[in-house]
Parts: sequence; structure tokens; C-alpha cells
Amino acid sequence: MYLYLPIAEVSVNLFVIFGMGGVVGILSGMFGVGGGFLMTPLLIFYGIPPIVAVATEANQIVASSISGAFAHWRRKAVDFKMGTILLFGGIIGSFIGIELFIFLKDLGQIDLIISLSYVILLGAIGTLIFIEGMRSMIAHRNEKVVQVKKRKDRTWVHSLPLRVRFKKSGLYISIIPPIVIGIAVGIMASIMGVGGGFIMVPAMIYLLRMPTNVVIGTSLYQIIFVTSLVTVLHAYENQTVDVMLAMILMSGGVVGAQIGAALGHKLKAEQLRFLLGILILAVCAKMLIELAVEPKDIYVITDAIL
Amino acid sequence: MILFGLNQLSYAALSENDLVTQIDDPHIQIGSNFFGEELLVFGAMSGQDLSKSDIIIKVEGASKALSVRERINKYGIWINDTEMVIDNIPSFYAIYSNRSIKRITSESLLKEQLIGISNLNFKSDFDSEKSKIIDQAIIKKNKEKGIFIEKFTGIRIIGDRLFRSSIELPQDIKEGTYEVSIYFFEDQQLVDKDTSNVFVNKTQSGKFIYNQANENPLLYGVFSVLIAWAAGLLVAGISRVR
Repeated sequence: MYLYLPIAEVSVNLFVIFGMGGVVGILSGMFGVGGGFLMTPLLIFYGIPPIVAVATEANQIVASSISGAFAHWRRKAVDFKMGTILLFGGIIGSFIGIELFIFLKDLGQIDLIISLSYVILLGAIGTLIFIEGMRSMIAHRNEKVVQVKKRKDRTWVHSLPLRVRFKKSGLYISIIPPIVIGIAVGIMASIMGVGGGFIMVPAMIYLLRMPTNVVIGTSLYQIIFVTSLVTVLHAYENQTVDVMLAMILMSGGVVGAQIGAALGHKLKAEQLRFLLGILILAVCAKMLIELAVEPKDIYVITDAIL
Repeated sequence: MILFGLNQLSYAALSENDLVTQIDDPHIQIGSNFFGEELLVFGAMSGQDLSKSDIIIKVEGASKALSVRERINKYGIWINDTEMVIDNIPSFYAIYSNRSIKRITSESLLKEQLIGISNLNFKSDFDSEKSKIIDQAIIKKNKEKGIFIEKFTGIRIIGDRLFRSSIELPQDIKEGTYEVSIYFFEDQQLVDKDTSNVFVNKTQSGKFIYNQANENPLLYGVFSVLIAWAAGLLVAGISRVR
């Protein structure tokens, strides 16, 4: 069944879009990742204009992060104070990101920058997951105990000024690092249409030394509001949020996440992670090939904005 | 669908060299599952020697400017070069005729009447060599998209008197007014011309969403976020019940 998307201005197969929402939903249900970093490239491959894919994916992430955040909130696994500071940075970053987005769009280079950002991001994440998956698989096979590196209690992060006590996380640290992390995530959300959890979560664990049990809930709490803001900014500045596309993706994602959560308990985590790494690297490779192969049309023709 | 139909008049009432056309319902609606529509055009002609008569139908949408960027290879990847603006390009342009337009009449008359894709005057402010290449690229792309059409077998003349044609409107045709001109040639000479308008409207949710996104962008953005909130809260509620 085909459907004409009013903002993307292309006809899409309803079941393909629903299916993409579902598959990415399964992955996010299994691994606890948001899935924006996979969904946006998939939408671009399917023929959705990149600027519409980015803005609409931000809209979808709002929905998935709300349901996720609620689950963590019920388990009291959200550090609201830390989340709010991260959010403060996220708001600044979103505005910077949108300005950058508009600047690049006017230069005619936004599609290139979106693709390049994804090549770098997916390449890095894919490689990390792949290596970690392989290492734990080997360790498992050799039945070696994986050595846990003893973490240093204090780093340079902890000697910065403007310190505040975060009761929930049991920390007394400067608010500068969380604000900077928030800004970075906000910029990424605006330009790439991702929640940024995969950057924020490791940063919170290794940089801020937050306890792991509150990290995901806190990042989801921040992502809800940052992606909400990014959606509104894209709609206002670029008119690129396709609400019809977003709704199909949301419904696919809901179904997928339920399946993924059920599957995640049954399957072996290391092997899955290994597969996820391969999948991410494959998407990255496809994106890179599209940048490197001589285009079919040597001229890019669009409506002129006068 | 529109009809350039025959009036209730009898053939006898037609003057010497004449063309009869009529619009029944010149409104085309694009819904959210629009897959293109056929515009049915037909009519009757009368004249001295109808065996030498030809019909050309031109359908033209409003002109607009396009932005063109050449893709150049830098550091192994293909990036967009600086922008070139080409103006005066019809958003839709179709020529239908009963045989090759070059045989129907002279090149100068075709040029004068702006009949034929090669007779369109695109405007650009850079050197002519480059602009020729770019004009060709635009024409090629628009032909692929089905918004530039030349069909020299697109009109059927029935019994020397009646003609009939169905013009393909593509899926991504834009909303607006389209001018339909019907040219009646006899022995290379233009003897009559009829012009009417066709209106294309986007209907249903598609148009509503598009309009809201462009006319009330802030409200539209807030509304999109509210939908996502509602969906997220609904899922959170369902998982809690479980």
C-alpha cells in the first residue's frame, strides 16, 4: 500500500516504512539504544530527503524516549538534577545545531554533512561494538575472567570549578562537563536526528563517573526534551517535519520494541552485539560508497529559494 | 478529469476553419494516494481540407527558478559546487501532437508559439556553453520525472474531424493553475488556437498537513511533538499495565 508523504513529497510503501520502524524498534528493545542513528540512514537510503529524515526522526525519538524514560523513572533510576543540567547544555546545543544546519543548507552542503557525520559516527560506534563483542566472545570461549579496569576515583573533570552535589548519583562535581556533554548532544540531535544516548551514556559513565543504574534513565530524560525542542526548531525553521512519516515510524517502533524486549531476554547478548556491530558497519559502508561512487546525475537540481 | 468536449452544436454550425473545445470539470484533486491522473482532451475541428489538418496540445504549469549545482570530486568524495540559478522553467510542460511537430509547421512558428521543449527559453546569467549543458541536464531530469513530456503520437484523429488525447499528469505534479492550449494547423498554417485553464488541488490530509507546516510552522512543530508525547505516554501506560 502506497502513501504520499506531504512534507517529504515522495510516495512510500506503508509496510516498508512500518517495517523499518519495527526492525529498528526490535534493535532498540534488545540493546536499549534509541535507534535514531540507524533509522535516519535507512530513511535516506529509501529516498526520503535527508533534511526531512533528520527532522522527522527527531520527532519519532521523542515518543520512544518518553516510554523508555517512564520505565526508568518507575524504578527511580533517573537523576533529575543531573538530567536538567545536561538538558540545559542540550538546549544551547540544539540552537547552535539548528543555526549550523541552516547555514549548511544555504551553502548547499547539508546533505553531504549529514552523510559524512553518519559515516564518522557509525564507523566509530560500529568498530567499538564489533571489537567489544569479539573480545567478550573470545573471552567467553577461553573462559577467562574479563579483567575489570580499576577506575580512578578522581580525574581532571573533578577538579573543575562550579561544583554541585548530585545526591542521586552520589557525586560532587562541576556542572561544566555535563553542560559541555549536553551541548555536544544537542548539536548532534539537530544535525543528525539522533537522541545521542550512545555518546551521552559512555560520557556519563567514564567521564562523570555516574553509577551505571541511573545513566540510561537520566539520558532518556534529557533526550525527551532535547528532541522535542529540535523537532519544533526544524518545523519552524525548515518545515521538514513529516508528521505522517513520524506516526508510521512510531507505530512500527512500538511493536518492534515490545518484540525486541522479549527477544533480548532469550538470546545471547555478546553474539547479538557482534551482529549489531556488523549491521552498523554495513550501513556506514553503504553511506560511504554513495559518497565515493560517481553520481548518476552530475547536476543536483532543486527549487531555487529566491 | 476534464473534457474538451464537443458542444451540443452540430458540425454545420461551425465556421470555416474552426476548433471546438469545452471544459466540463477542469479540477484535478490530489489525495494522499495520488498516482497520477490522465487528462482527457478531445474536440472537433472543421475546415477546408481536413486531411491536411494537425493538432498540437500544450499543457504548461507556472514558471519557476531552479538551483543547479555541479557535483565535483574532491578528496575522493562527490560534493556540490557553487549554486547556479536558472529561471523561467515551467513546473510542467507537455506537448502532444498527432505527428512530429517539425512536420506540422515551420520552426519559426513553433518558436514563436513556444511549442516544443527545445524552444523553451530558460534564463541564466552565465556563459552560453555552460548554460546549454545545464539546460540539457534540467530537461533530462524533468523528462525522467514525467514533468516534461513530448509525445508526437499522443493525439488520435478520428475520421478527419474529431481528435482525442489523454495527457499523463505525473504523481508529483504541483498544485496550481495549468494552461492548456490547443493549436489547430492546416497545411502548415496556424488557423485556430484555444486556451483554457486546469486547476490542480491537493486535497485531504496531505494538503492540510502541508499547509499547516508552511503557514503555521511553530504550531505544527508543537503539535508534532504533542503527538509523539501522546504516543510515548500511551506505550508507557500499556507497559505498566503488563
